[in-house]
Amino acid sequence: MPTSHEDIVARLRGIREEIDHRGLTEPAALKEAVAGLEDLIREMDGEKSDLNRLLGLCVKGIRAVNELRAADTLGSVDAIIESLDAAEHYLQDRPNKEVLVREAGQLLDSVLSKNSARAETDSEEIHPEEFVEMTLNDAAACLLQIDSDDFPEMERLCRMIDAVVAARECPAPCREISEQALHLAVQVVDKRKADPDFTIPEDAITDIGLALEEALSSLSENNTASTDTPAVEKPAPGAESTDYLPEDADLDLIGAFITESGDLITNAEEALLTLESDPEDIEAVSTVFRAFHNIKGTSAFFELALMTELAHHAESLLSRVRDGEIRYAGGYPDLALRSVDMLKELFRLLQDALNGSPFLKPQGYDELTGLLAAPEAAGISDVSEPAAPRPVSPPPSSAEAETSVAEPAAASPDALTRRPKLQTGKQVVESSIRVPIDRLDRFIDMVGELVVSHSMVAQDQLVAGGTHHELQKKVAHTTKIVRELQNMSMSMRMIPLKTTFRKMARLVRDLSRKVGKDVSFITEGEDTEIDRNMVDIINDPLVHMVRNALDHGIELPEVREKMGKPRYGTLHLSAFHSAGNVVVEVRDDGKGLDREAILAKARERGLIENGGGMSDREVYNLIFEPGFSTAEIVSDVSGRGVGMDVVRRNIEAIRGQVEIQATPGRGAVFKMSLPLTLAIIDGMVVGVGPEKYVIPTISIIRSVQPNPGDISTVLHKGEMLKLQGKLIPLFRIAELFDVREAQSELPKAITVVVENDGHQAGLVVDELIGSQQIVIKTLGESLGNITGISGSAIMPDGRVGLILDVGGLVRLANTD
Amino acid sequence: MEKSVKSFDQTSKDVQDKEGKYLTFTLSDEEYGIGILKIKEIIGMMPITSVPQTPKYVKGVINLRGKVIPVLDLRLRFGLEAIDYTDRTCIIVVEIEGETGDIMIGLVVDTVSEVLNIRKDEIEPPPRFGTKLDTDYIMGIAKAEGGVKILLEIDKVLKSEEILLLEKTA
Repeated sequence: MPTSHEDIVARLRGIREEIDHRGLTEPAALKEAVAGLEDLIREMDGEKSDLNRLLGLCVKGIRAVNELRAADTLGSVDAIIESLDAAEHYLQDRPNKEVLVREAGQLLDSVLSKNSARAETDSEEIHPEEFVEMTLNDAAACLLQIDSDDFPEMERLCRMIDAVVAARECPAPCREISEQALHLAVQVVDKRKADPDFTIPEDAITDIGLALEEALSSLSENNTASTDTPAVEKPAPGAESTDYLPEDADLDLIGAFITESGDLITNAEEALLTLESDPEDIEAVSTVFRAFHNIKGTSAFFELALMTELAHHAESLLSRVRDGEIRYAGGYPDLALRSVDMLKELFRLLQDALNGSPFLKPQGYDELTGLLAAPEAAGISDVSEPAAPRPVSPPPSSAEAETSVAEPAAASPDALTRRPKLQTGKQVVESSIRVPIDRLDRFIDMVGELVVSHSMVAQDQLVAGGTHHELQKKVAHTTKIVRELQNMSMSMRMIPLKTTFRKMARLVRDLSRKVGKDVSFITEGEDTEIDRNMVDIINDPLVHMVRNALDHGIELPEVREKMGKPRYGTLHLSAFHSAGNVVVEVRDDGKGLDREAILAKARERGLIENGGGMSDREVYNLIFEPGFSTAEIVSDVSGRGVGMDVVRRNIEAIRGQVEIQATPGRGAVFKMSLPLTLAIIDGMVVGVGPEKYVIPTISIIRSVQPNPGDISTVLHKGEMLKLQGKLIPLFRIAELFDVREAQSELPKAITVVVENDGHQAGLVVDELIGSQQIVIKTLGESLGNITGISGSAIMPDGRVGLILDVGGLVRLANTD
Repeated sequence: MEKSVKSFDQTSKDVQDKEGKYLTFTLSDEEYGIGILKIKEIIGMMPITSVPQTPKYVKGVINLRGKVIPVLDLRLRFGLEAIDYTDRTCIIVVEIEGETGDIMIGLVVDTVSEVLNIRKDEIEPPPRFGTKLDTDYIMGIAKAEGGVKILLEIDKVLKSEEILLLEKTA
């Protein structure tokens, strides 16, 4: 015995740690381990047969892992490490050493035999359906790389195809085609056996490749798997990703098709959600059916085969629902919604394709069409799945997508009592035409102009003088018409929040399933209108708030029950007008915000020092601080991309505000106040000499006429104003903008204190003229961006006023 | 030889393109013309809101029926002496190609004269004064009845280096 036990133990440990550390990714490490073990075996030759056998097995296992032959790589490595451990124990004469070694040996043996089973017949797989596809893919890949004289590889290929043919799970059509491929491959091998100089002809490879490809596609048609694995790209020869956009496509027409279909898809999605709460709603089925049918027809016209196929399958599914063949329940709703999602994805890709990128088949397309073609084969039925993550609850999915008026009293919802409500208003057929946005803007401009010139007429001495009563009456009448016209023109840019709310309904549905919470989603005031440009801007913050409410606010059903609340949580999304603003509110009845947790977090992040005397409101506002963004707030769910600070920034960018109210244990309310439109701001008109400027009211803190004593100069250039103990820099608009005849004596002039990015500044102007609503216009391309001016506005007298950009002014003053 | 014929053809073609109707106006006793297709409308003088930090010849912006458009004083643009505006002072609104579609710009001129039909044989290429005078934005000189008219290439007048510079510094 040349080597002492301790030495062997140390070496074994070294090898084990090596494997443990460097893992599977380092073939070099594994090879080293093999070499080390082999040395050991040689040294201990014949000494302890059990141990030697075990180590031999380890070597075999490591080799298998190394060559990536192992069926269960992780399991193999575990078994190997276990065995090495056991060997160590044995050598250290620990109790039960024989048993340990034997057990480890058996474990490793079984893992390894699994490996060899795979290597030989490839038929013992954990996922039989995937196995066939995988092997076919492997075979195709192998074929691609084959050299014309590489016969061992060719034989390997034969074995692979053979395995597919032998596999029980292989569907009949696929097997037939695979047999053909096998036949071709065997022929080649036989020829080689007969003639050693024979090389594999190119066309034989192509033929086998084509057969394999066919087998794969027959498989995807028959794919009975209901897993979410994306369709594997076929690596067979000639199967490069195809551009599905026809070469002679009329791009303009397709563009119109995309726009049109966008509406159809939105309607379809909404109808599907309605349908889920009321599977008997034939009207909704027809809506979806029509949408798919339309898309199918038009896409066929454009030769967009991908959409035609998908729409066709989805349409057939819906027609079965319509004919009462199947009920819209169980797995079908998911399937239908997935088709809608896929259609959306296709249209997105098509849009990209119009800009030049290739129109490729999206991931999971084949799988989904396969499912749609034969949903029953994949085990989808209209029986509700009992083991879904959402536990059975009082409102079984019926209250989920509820989009009716709020009815918190109906806490025991019953699909039947709700149905009449859902059907109201669906007969209203909306008829509309599309108007280019620039024409609309022009129209609104003209109306604004009409208002101005009309008021000039109305205030004219002749009219207002009081002698022409008939004329006065007529002018008063036109005033009414003009005002009506103005209101109408403003409302033309407004669209209801309905579409946005529908998106949220879908979000809540999907998300509540995912997190396993029961949520009844109620929307109110979805007819509230908002400027078209703002809809896109508020979408992201809203998604974030809804997600937060679901994620952090509403508790799991079990927890809720324990707290004496109903199992299902309620999420209210409402919109209403308030004080000239539109308010969008997300209200949940979850656990509310945890004041202490927020404070602790803020202290940890260094946002506050103590926070003892802070009001609830101040505390809640802390979650809008950037430091909070990436971390968990109250619960442990985190990493959801945008933080609340982004929400606030987005809202404030459109001159809105966010506010939080919360009652611990009772729920929280996130309230967004938004201006009605982006085109109008509240502005303070100020005069500087002969010029008039507008300062956005939102950035004005106050205006003062300071005492001379409060003003101090810095280096005789900069001026500072002492205001309530704070020193703020003063900027003279007249100097910055080179306006003559302006008031230069400070006490007589007025200082408007403004705030931007948390910094205050004083703007010195001659007079405050008044506050009014201002329609914002750009200065146009030719005048570009002028520092200190954010835009222009038409003043009531018809002249143009310039809107001051407070941030820019401060920058301007600093550069001079 | 062939080359000179070609270049002759080129000039005659250019001249042919220039044939057409022109709106003529005066600036300090000189007559100018702008191709009628470039002109949107002619308006009388109206209050102009001056815009800070722009060159002298940019008078400011006006409200043209709800649209805010910049106004340039052509006198100042050509380095002529400024005069007080009178009843006869007009703003010619022209449309030129911008980077993002057509843009409208107002030009202040002393008086607007008439619309003239100018034949191709009346148009001569712009004279060259060397470095003394930049004639880049002069399309040609028309010898019409009642005097010589300077035909302006208005896109070049408004998009010369100075304006580009203005856009950059702004």
